[in-house]
Amino acid sequence: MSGLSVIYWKELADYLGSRKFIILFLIVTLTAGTIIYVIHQSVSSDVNQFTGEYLFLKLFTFSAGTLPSFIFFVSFFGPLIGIIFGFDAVNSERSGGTMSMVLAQPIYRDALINGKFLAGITTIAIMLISIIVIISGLEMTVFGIIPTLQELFRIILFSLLSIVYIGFWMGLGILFSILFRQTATSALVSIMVWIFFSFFILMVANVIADQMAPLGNNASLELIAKNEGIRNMILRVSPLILFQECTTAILNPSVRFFGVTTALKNLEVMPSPLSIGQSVMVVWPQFIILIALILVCFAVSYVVFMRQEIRST
Amino acid sequence: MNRKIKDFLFFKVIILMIISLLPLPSLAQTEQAEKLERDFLIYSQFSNLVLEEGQSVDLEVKFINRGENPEAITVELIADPEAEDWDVALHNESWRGFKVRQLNLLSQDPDNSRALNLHIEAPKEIEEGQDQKSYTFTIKAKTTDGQLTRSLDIVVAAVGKKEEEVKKETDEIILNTKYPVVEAASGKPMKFEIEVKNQTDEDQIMDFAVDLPLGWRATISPRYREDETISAIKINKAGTETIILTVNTPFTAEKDEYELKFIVKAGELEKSLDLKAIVTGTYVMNAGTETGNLKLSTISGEEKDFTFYIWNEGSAAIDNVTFFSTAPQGWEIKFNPEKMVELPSVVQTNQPEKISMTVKVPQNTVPGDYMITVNAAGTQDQKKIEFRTTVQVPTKWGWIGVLIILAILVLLLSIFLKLRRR
Repeated sequence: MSGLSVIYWKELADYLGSRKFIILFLIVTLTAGTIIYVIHQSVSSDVNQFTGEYLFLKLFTFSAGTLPSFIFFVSFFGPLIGIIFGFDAVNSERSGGTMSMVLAQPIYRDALINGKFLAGITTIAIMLISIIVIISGLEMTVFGIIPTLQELFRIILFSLLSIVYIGFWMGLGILFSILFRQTATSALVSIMVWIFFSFFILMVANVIADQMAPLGNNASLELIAKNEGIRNMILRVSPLILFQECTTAILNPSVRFFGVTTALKNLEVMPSPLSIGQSVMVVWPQFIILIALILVCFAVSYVVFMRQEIRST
Repeated sequence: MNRKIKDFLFFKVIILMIISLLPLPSLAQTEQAEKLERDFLIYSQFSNLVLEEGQSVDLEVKFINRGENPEAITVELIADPEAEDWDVALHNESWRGFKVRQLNLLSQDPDNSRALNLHIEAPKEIEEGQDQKSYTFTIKAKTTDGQLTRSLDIVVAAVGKKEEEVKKETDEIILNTKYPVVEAASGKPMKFEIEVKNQTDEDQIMDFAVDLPLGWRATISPRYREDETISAIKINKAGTETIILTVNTPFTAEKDEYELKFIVKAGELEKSLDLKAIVTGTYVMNAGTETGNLKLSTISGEEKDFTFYIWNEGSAAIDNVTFFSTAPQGWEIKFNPEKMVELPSVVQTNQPEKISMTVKVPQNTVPGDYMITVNAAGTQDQKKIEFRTTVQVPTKWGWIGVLIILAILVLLLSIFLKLRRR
């Protein structure tokens, strides 16, 4: 496995030293800082909207005025970060001619792809964890709130989930960089997929739902529920929505269902926070799908890469 | 002539026969008539009496002259030598009159008889062992010439008085209450407001006593100062005081009507007042769990049994206890037993009734806390308990998720093994 560690460290050094990493990191940090600042501003003006249990977690899900919440930020721009790290992983080396040189060394092919993947995940992990730690630290200094043990576990879970999520997009980028020879093509395709799952899916879901269960001016509650159900089902095709649901449930202990259908059925439930295990159980399917997605994505990349022909042209 | 004599004789015989047939009364009459020359009687309606200690009696003793001549009679009263403390005297008829030693009776009515009073007063206290003992008092009478002597024995037995009868009810103390009948649940106090009036000529210290059923307690307190307990009160002459009699019924008192007696004693005087206490049953349904914890935990789609207890803290049984529950839609809650004909007081049973409750939560219930309200309702009382029920998601779906991930990992591993090292 010497080949794997060589590739891993070389790739990691490449990623961390690259300008795109520094720029991205700065952007993300700035954004996080801004979010904290804005929250602080709005809390100072109105303390009442910021009370209750699980205050520490609320800071991650809190959206102040025009600025989105941190979850939203990660779910929308996290994919972009992943894509940026992955879209040229293989085809740039190939076009640059370095691939055949690397493979001329006593390094196995699977070590190359595994190393690239692991190094990408590691970079993302470093970036995300440092941002989350920075935000938490800022929160503690600015608001004077210390997370409880359960909040800490929830934050750790959230970090892991975010790594998996962004890792999936990176994996997708790597897959496209293997499939397409041109970096531009793979970049565009990746961006297209991201745009589709982030924006178009919302419109598509609305259109299909309205077609299947059209809502008139005075639609019955059941019809609205049906419409909502269809919409949610389509939306859940998108990893972005899955991630949002997952993180919402994990960072907000009182969330126990999504959509109107179940909400109607369970009005009797008391608005008490769930335990962390139960919160995970609420979004367990989404959780599984996200993990499965990154694994499948990697597996496909691996198979395709291993079967490709490497030429030193 | 012979014939005439014969007839005469015959006639005479018949007459004699007739005379001898009529006769005994007439003969006696002749005897009486003879004795009537000088005779007198002593007569009393009663000759054997029972007196209580301290009791006195005035007996009428009649002396009747039945002779043809006036008689002078000396009268003597001979008391029983053992009757030491007895006060016995023979008086003339007027009240507390003079003693009489001789009386004169004429032969003609109405002056041929004279009544005297024999005053007998039993001693104030009869010594032990002297109870029921009889004493004989003899009235001896004889004519002054000593030819005729008559005597009459009066036997008197003395008995000790019974204690209750010593203190006779008096009208000089008046007890009054507006509400002589009070109703309360067992274990709850009943209050009687009693007005005590002293109508004697002097100030009196009145002692109170209450006749109660066994196990009951009573306290007496002045009006407006009910935290104080008194057992006597001084009432000025012609004064009135109101006191509060608080009767505490024991918790175990059965539903019934009870007679109480409130007694006031002031020296010799005594007065009582009858009161009535109606004990009604209490019905206090209570319910709870063994630990007192009203939190249940179940898994959606599954059936689970819980146990809770109900008991009756009252004194009377609660009838027709049924259970019903309010729970979120789709939940199935069953009770065992479904109903109870009677829930006796826990004082009698000493243990609560165990009720098992089966809760079935429908599939796909959103995890969280729900309220189940269980109402145990009897005819007389009901009790509501609320269970906070935590519904958890069944973990089987979690394991299926883990299996999916594992399957993918196995796939990945097999790809690795197949494609690596090229």
